[in-house]
Amino acid sequence: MPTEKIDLPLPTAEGLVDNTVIFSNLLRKNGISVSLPAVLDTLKGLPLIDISNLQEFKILLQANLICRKQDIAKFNKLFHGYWLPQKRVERDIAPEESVTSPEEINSILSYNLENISDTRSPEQRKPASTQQSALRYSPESLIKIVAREELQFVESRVLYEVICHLLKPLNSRLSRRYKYTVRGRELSLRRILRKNMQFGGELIFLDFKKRKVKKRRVLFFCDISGSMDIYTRMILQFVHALDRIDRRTEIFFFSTELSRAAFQFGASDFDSAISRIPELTANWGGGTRIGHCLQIFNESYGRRMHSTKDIVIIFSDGWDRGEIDVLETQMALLKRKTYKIIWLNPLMGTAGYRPICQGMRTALPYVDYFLPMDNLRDIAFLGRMLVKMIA
Amino acid sequence: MNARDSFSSIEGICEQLKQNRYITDQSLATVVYLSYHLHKPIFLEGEPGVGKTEVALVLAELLATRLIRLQCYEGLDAGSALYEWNYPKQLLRIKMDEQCSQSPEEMGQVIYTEPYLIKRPLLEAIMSSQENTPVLLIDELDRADEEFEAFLLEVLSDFQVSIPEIGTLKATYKPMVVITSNRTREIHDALKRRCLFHWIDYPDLDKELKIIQTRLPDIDETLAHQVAIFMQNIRRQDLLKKPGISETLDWAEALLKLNRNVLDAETVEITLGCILKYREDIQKFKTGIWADPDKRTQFLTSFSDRHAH
Repeated sequence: MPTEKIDLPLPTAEGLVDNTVIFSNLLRKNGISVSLPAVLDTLKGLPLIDISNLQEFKILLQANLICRKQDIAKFNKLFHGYWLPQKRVERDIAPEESVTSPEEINSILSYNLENISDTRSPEQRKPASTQQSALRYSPESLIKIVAREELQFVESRVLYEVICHLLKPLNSRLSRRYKYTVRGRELSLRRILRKNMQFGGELIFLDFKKRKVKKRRVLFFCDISGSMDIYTRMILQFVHALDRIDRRTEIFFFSTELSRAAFQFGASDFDSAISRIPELTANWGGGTRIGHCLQIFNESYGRRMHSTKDIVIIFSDGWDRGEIDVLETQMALLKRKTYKIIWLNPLMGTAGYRPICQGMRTALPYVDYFLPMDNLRDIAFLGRMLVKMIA
Repeated sequence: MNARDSFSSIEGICEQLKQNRYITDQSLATVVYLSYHLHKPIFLEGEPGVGKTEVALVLAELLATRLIRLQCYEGLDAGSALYEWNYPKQLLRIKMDEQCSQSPEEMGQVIYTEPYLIKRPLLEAIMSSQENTPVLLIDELDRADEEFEAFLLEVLSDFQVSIPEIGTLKATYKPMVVITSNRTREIHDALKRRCLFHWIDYPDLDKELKIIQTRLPDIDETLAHQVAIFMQNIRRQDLLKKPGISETLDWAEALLKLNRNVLDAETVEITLGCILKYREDIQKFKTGIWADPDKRTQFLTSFSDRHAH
């Protein structure tokens, strides 16, 4: 990510060009991904608009630099903080009044001031930005995860294989894409024609096509409440592997609130992925309200992106402190929009376990496969069990 | 004023859009203006029924040019998006020419020419832009799979396509591209950052009213007010599917067909299917809101009532 000042071939408005570049860096610092071509396009757009019109200027920046809906609110906040001087002063005096979260103000403010005061020498800027990232992460949650490190750790490659194996029996969906085969029912005219051109167009060899089998998308719900604390490291490794296998995987963490891991698992190695987890949620180790969280899912993400072809995996012990009837209706809603629901319960491995706690009892009728999972090494066994259940 | 001249200013675009019965705010007009001058595609996101596709239709009208539409679906591939050879026609030609004892090379020169080429939307956009800039609408991109997105990236970057048998075709004028998505999945950033992003929200009361009155000029003013207020209210409710502006227009049109000048409780009940499309939503509405007389009056107010208060 380039944080240094870029030498731009557009010297039209010296101050504005520089400030736009600094502003795009400010966006990056605050977790919005801004590409260099986007910044260049913004600069190209500057002569096209009326710069004295703030609204036009703002739309120019927003349309070019932002590409996700969830970033718009953050952009607005940063835009006002950076480009409207009176607001900047306001924040200097009484930050609590203008923005809701004090941490956010700090991060905005620290970066702003740093840019205003220095004349953009990257060497000077670096120490301040490390300070700022320390502000953004909560160190407490990190410690929690690291403390579990002594728990089992399975080699990634092995893990990928066993997860693929686990999901294989469910991945039977026919895609609308075709692949070419020697035998089949549908003729592939394209291939036939090409193959037989050598015989002057006389059709001697035939070629066929058939539907490809497509992997189903997995939606993974992970319980991170207090009672599940000891499984955190294991499950994060599982989730990371799941995400690496298929980029379409959606991961949600829940305790009393639901949070979605959008890009945190995008990093290729497990350790850098895990270091980004604390920015996700503040609810590690809290209580559980499964029904409430599923409701949030069904109402927001679920409505848009959930399809009946997906597999839902819920990893939880089923200890629920929320309202039972909410859980029931939400499980029913989820079930209606899902291909299969798999519930992985870490307690199930213990001898003599019965799903008697109320949350688990309520959810169970809507679950297609109820499987134990207290150990990563068990996944291979889970896969075999799933095959048996389906057969 | 010529439509193309109006693209020289943001106000001009705003005005032209309005004349073409598309009510919008300055932000969308600015994005259109930038897209036209920077030659960048517009990427529109928003809830269903807020008028994303309509933008492309209106733009084509405005520029007095062709609209080329590519509706995305799962499994959409280069064959159905870019070009394909007309295989049955080629086979027939081969059979017809069999008597003339042509060599395979000569045959190839005949059957791999433009008359045997089926142009799909993307190729059409590239080839037709040799005369003037068409509008290319890539609708509901989120329905196509990721493989297609990657392919699109290549086409959108330079509007150039190589057909091995013919050669490289390049657009002289880049088409104006509008991409829409309903966010059933996230589109990859690589594609998004090549576009100008714009989020279309549900309209506010004034805008909704203007839209109703522009689209349905015959509508009674009180009824238009009532419908707009009703829709604003119903969107505040906790529903599975909030009705968009297209539902508003459907509903208002239905009311016109039923010869209603005023929205009353009975009319709402019989036409509820125009705005709510889930059984649970209808039930929730009937038991939770409609049963409550206070809320009912609140939903049925018109502007004049509100001003009286």
